[in-house]
Amino acid sequence: MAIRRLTLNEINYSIAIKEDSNSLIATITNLETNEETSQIIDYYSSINGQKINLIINGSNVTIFVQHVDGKTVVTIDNILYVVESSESSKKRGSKGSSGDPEGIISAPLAGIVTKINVALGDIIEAGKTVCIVEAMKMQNEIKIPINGVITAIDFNESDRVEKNEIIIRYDVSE
Amino acid sequence: MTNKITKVLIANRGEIALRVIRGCRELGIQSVAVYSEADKDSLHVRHADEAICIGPPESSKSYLSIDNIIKAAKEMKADAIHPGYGFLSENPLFAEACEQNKIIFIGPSADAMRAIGNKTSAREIMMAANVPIAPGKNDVDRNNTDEILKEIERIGVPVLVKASAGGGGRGIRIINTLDEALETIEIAAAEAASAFGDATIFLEKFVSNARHIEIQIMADAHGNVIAFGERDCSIQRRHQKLIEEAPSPAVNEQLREAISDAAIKAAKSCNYQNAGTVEFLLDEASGEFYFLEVNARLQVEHPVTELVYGIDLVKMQLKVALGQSLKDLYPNKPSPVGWAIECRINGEDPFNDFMPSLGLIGGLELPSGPGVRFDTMLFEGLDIPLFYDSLLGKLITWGSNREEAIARMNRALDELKIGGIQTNIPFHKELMNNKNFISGDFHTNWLEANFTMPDKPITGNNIELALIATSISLNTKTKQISSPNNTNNWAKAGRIHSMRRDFRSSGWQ
Repeated sequence: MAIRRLTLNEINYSIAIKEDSNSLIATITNLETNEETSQIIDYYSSINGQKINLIINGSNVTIFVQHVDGKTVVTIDNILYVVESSESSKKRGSKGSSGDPEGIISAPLAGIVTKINVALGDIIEAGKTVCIVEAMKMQNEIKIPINGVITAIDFNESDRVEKNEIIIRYDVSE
Repeated sequence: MTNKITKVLIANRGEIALRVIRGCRELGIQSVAVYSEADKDSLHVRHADEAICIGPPESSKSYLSIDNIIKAAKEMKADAIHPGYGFLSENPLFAEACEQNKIIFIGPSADAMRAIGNKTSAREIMMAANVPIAPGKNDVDRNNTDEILKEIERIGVPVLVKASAGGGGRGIRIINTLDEALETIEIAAAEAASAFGDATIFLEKFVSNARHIEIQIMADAHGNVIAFGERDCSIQRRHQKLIEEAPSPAVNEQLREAISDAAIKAAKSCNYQNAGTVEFLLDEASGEFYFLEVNARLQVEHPVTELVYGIDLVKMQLKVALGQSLKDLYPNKPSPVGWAIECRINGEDPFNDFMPSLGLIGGLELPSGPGVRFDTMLFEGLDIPLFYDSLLGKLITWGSNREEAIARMNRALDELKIGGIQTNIPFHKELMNNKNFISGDFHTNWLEANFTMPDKPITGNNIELALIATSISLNTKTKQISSPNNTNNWAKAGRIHSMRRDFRSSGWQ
């Protein structure tokens, strides 16, 4: 019996998996609503924990799983989901610029910082584009969510930036 | 005239480089791949007979560097260069550099590229050759505002303002009322100046609800030009094509013949050679069609034409470059058989405004079976470089009719599974089941105006499956870390060992 606490779309779940001769029984509890469901998995195989084939209620499904930065990236039917272990999810704050805590602006995705529109000490109004991160020829305008004074710029134009790396820091102003 | 080609350098990357390598290999011609530092691990590098690095990851210093590529071709003793699409493929300076270095450029001459590369001069050439062009005004004198307004009134709003040096859907603005005309023209000219280094603009009637119809042509060195019918590329988002098909649901045999004749005239009027595409706008209501532009290269969507005409355009390009005559290569009158559809598989998130989705390809299952072709750069373990476009592959299906081609596409999209990044496959699934798409009822603005992508499913089956799979995977991982055999060296040596370690055989802890 293995029990795990996982978070998906900001909902916490508990998953218990029990081995029963040739099948698995998965019991999933939504910890917000306490709803509980059980699934019987008739057959499963796992290659290196990265490719998982299941037969569940008579249908089969192939799922790709990757563990990245303490998160689990799951692809089912070409749709991507990010699952976090509930224990580790509290430590991780931002998911990109819109989810940045006050005072920092980070890259919502990996790319190249093609333009920085602000300089140290600039007073910037909420909603203004402070920099542009280009990935695959697309320009992603990164905006400041609230009024602020720029206190640090950690990147130069044409630098490569990884997802969630802090590009600009600012003090909140009125 | 017969040239000799023993070794071709492919000045490109991704799926198109692979496509050209395949053509070379079938003809017994050696291939040389070029790669930037970001592409060392690419599939095209592995498939080519030889490979050479041409610079750092930035395109401007590698795939767009004429000097580096010519130097590589000389070093590898390539006697021909295939440019693919994009990058340097339509750059007359590159074609000239090849000529100066006695390397065969597999494509049109620099002169032909220049003549049709400028949109204003292309319009003039087509007008002289009696190819229908949309009503418009070529030489816009921005100081003569009276004349501009008179012309716009004559053409009738809405009118497009286009950059002469633009192309591929870039540098276009629309004038909806006379009041905004002068301001829009000034903005368009300023944009053209900064984007293309040339502020020249021209006016063209905006044909609403038009279809994007393009004709595949092939021209040899002996004056023969063949048109291999049309492709319909009306499914577009922000002027980028997403789905293409051949033939078009809106074109009958008579219309095909008329547009093909216009395309052949267009090619002959500029002494075009090798493969090219003549783009038209088709006003379905009136049956009128207008010349748009010539793409002086092999197109991304060339496979749909290959499938319905039973031809290999890359090999034909090579043979034409060798000086062979189309009379020998294709003596019959081209006639399409069946139907082919292509879906561009991009690393883009359709649930999030098609934002780029990058990263490591953690899993891949390829489609196959009757009538399915997948031209791709993907493999498991590829870390997609950030520096290039988002096209990962092209899924193409053929059927005896449109219905069968769509059914096969639906099936192939189910079979194709890409793990680790979000692709636009769910978008294509939606489209293949969309009433308008199935009935062939769409135009170039249809997708943006009428189609809405449903939200990402965040309840139900998928959620449970994601949680179950995560649990199984985390349990497997724990198991492996505690295994005495799984030392660092083994981990490095990679998959073979771990693949044998089926989790099931070792059981749960």
